[in-house]
Amino acid sequence: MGDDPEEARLLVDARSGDTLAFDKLITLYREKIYMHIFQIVRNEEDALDLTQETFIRAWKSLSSFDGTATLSNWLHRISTNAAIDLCRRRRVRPQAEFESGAMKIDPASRTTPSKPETPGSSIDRAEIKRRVEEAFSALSAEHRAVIVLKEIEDLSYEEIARQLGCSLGTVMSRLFYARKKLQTLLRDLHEEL
Amino acid sequence: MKNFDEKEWAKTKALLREHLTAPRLEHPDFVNSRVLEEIERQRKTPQAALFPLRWLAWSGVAAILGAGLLTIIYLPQETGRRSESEFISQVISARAEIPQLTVSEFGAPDDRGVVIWIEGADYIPAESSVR
Repeated sequence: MGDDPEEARLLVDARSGDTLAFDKLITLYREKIYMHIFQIVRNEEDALDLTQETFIRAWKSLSSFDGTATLSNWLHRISTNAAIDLCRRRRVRPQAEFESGAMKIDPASRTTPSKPETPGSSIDRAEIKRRVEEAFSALSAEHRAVIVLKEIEDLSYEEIARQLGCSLGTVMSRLFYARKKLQTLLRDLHEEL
Repeated sequence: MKNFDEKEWAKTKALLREHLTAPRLEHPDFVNSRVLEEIERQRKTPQAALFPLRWLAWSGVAAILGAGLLTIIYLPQETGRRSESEFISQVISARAEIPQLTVSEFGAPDDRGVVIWIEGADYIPAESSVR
């Protein structure tokens, strides 16, 4: 359980069926959970739906929450899995170009050019954002999740493994290929910057 | 090589951190109301689900009672004393030349088979014969 005694009290009350206490817990975590989910699904409507689903799943599983993880970690774990599930179901990302070649990337390859050909050339910030988002959206749900957890939320490998319910080796492998893919996808952008 | 890769990745990571931002939740209280609404709805649902379950249980009991009743009514009842031949097997004769042996012989009706049951010996001596 968390260190916050107020949160611990709310959790005890919520477990005994007190929806008002659970309402307060939702208020404490809704923003964080929403932003976390959005990072993976990249869609506001889906993120909102999944935030609600996360809290509903949490309510149903409150009795099985043993307190070995913090409530925050537990909710993040539920939300990550919900986000990955949704992405798997949808499979809307453009796959053709990168999916088949994912395992063919040479681990020793240089994926980013050293210097742009034309120094000083610049592109619009909105365009950079669009291309970064496009590259990120081209990753599989699992790869997106691992990039968000490691590179944006700065979680340790162990914490990521716990959240995703997989081994450390799997986390490292996913992270390795996700990074390589992203670097490959953003190669042109690096050239233009 | 590793350092080089890390340097290269640092550039990509910086791009990700700068551009992969998440918007804030526009109507946060909407989340609370929808979640609590759903919890309330699910709390009511199990009671409604129990109602047909009760009916199912009663239907099951009625079906079993009905089946029992039909069995009693329609299955042919055996009347009178059973004849000897209806038994699965019967003792035909029993005789042993060695006093410590007990021999029983069972025969099935209509001479369809005979079982000889010998007690009191680990084996039958070669010179002995079964009659």
